Amino acid sequence: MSVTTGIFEQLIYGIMTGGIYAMIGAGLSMIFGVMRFSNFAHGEFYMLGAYITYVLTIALGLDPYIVAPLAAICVGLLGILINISLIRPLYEAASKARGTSAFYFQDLRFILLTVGLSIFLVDLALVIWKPIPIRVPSSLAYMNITIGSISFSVQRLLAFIIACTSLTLLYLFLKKTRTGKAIRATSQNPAAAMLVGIDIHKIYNITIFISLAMAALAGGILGPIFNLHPRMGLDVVVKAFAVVILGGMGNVVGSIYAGFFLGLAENLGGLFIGTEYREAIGFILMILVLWLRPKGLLGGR
Amino acid sequence: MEALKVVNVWKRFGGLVALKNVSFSVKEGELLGIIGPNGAGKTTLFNVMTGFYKPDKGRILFYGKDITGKPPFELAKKGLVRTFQLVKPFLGMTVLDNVLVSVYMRYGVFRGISEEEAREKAREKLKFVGLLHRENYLAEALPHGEKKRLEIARALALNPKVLLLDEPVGGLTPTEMDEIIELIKKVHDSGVTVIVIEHNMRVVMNVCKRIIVLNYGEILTEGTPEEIASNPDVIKAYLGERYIARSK
Amino acid sequence: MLGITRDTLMSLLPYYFISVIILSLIPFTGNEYIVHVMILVYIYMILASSLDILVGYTGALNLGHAAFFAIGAYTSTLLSMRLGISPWIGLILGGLFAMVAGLILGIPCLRLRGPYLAISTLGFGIVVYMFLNNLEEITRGPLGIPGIPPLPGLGILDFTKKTTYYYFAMILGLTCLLILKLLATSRYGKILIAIREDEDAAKAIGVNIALYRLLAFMIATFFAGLAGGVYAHYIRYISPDLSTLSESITILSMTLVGGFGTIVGPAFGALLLTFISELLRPLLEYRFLIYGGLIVFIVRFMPGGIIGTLMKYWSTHGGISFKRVIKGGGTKSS
Repeated sequence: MSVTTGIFEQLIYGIMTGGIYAMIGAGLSMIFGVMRFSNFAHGEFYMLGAYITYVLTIALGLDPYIVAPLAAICVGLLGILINISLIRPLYEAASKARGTSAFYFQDLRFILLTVGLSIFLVDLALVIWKPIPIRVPSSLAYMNITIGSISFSVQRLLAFIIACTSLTLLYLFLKKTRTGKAIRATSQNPAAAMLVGIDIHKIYNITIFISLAMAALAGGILGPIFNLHPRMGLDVVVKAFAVVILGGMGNVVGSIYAGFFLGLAENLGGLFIGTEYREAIGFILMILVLWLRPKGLLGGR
Repeated sequence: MEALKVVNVWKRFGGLVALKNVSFSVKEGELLGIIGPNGAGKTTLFNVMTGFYKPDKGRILFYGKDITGKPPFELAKKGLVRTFQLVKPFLGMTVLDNVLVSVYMRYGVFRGISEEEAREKAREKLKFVGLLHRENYLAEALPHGEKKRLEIARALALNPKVLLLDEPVGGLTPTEMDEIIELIKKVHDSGVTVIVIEHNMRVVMNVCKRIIVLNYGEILTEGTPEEIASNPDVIKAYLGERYIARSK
Repeated sequence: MLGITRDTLMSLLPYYFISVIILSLIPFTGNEYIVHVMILVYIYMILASSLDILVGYTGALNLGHAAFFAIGAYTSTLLSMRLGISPWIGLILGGLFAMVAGLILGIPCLRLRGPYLAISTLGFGIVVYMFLNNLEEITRGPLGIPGIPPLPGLGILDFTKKTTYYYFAMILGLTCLLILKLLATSRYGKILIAIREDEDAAKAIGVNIALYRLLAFMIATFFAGLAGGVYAHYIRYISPDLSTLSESITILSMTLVGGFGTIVGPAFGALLLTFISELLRPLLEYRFLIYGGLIVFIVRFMPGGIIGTLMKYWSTHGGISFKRVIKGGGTKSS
């Protein structure tokens, strides 16, 4: 196995992983851009997507790649529920009390809320599904495709295709449709958006739905490739933030590019510093960007 | 003695040019007013002058020394102090503490002044602005007008050489406005160089000896209140403020 | 001196001594289990209250506080086991090492706020864990380090005895609490609060925010490291798990539940949550469900934490709705 093959192989893997990071990061960026808070529980929805896909695969006897979008929708709906019951009241409290707010740390409240949610969901998964890694059964499990001297599984390819498709759909949605434009308007100026008749809270619900559904979909399509375990979301969340920061917080397109970039950086970098330290690459890049170019490599919203 | 000099300052935000080649100087002991329609760049100018923004081009000189791009906290220590258009009191702290913190910063946090002396000085400033009776109230409990006075007291505790007031009468009732006008005059009389950004013609005409007019990021003109009020370009820029400019 | 007035000290000392007296009685119950739990409480008290300096006073959310706890623990352990340094000195060195680490993390993070800062601290925690886990020649990786020497005896005091360690932990814990409270009510503390309330305004009156933040980081991490050493020489086994996110979150929950910005609140939070987690030992798996739910509940309904909300209740209930009478600092913060 020559060096070039090794690099080429990591390149391919990098792009594929990148697609996943892009999906998760795009959603997180959307939440930050539109709803102005950081969702520390984002990784948990990725995890839930994976587990619900698993459950539905067993229950319905269908292939996970067919079931994953369904799971994504479920998670999206859950997100709307959470938004209505937990997040919206915080918004209302935030707009009311600008006075005692500092004492009650308004921005911190959102972060803490999502942190609490994250812990809750991780433990919920631990309780329901136990910390034993689970393999999602799939008919495509051991099929491989070979290009040149590299072979990788059909599953990875399929995951990649789904990732790219969903990212493209997201892009088109935001750029072309009316709702997409409304979302972008809200992210730029919520007050003005309200004035032109956009129902902010509906937009928030839609944003949460799309964002969490993307993360869940990412989990669903990765499930068959890697084993599921309840902490998988935690492994991903720092990277998700790294992607968002690299691409510019609130910049959805930026985070898509950043996602691919991180995937490549990790896999290629891993060749040099070994796989155990590979995970730190995302963090280091993130710190560098925060330090040197806080607006991200590609600028703001 | 030139207290402050702004030299060829430019400031861009993306595609928008907020300040275009702005130059002027302020003599020690002056009471200067900066006016202009909304969006003219007044607050941006303040932000550049006080280190909250870095200008893209140009320099700011404070008593002859170049302070361009220096951070706000350094400038405050040098004696260049500003207030904010949307008041920023330390809401969760008492009125006294708000000013006390300023006193600490001026005289030394870890040494330099005893607690008793610090409180004395803080109370002095509160008395100056007429808020001594509120010293134990939480800042957030104060009505808007008193918050504005607190803002000024906090700034005064730093013994500034130059005080920049950003829209000091924004949102006030006419009575409150008169109180602030008196206060500004009092501050100026005590030897502080004062620069005021304001919208409100009545305040500016009554208080300032010299006025600079900003429009679309450029200096339109400058002069005494009478000159400005009768300047057709100024009137055009304001369109509608005519009737206020005519009255005194 | 340092902006801490004699009055403040005088008003806090009674609480200090009363607590010492009451808590001294605990070993007399003869219940070894409670003594053990209380020792852990004191350790967590130091952790939770030091975190309050960062979160409650400076407004900097630190999701990696446990990393400094672990650094202190490992430092003291390795120094005593590999270099034969007395654990007494090890404790201090553990704190100092953690403080240096705090400096290293703090400097790049100086200009960050809110979520950026939080995520950076989170990442830092992960990096520390990674190092502790992977540098096996030094740290024995995931196996951890057993057989840590106890604190050497002082005269008749034998620190392998639980009761002795209890009094040590109690005095240390309460003293740390006192020191932190004094700092928080000092001039320095007031400036931190000013920064928290309004950064721009603080800048405008001459506060070098970065410097004060950094100092706060160093103070908080020093105490966390100190707590680490105390833990190491008591439990006498440590592992990289001490630095995990779960541990950091546990500490954060204690601070949150107790109430940010009060120093004393987190101490109660530590007490409450440590006992809850001990009581729930059989239900260990559900522990984080409860922690998570608790955090969500508190943030949603009682953002001031238990102590914070109580304090607000007292000050409004006594008919002094927007007036706060300051008794030279006292226990009412700010």
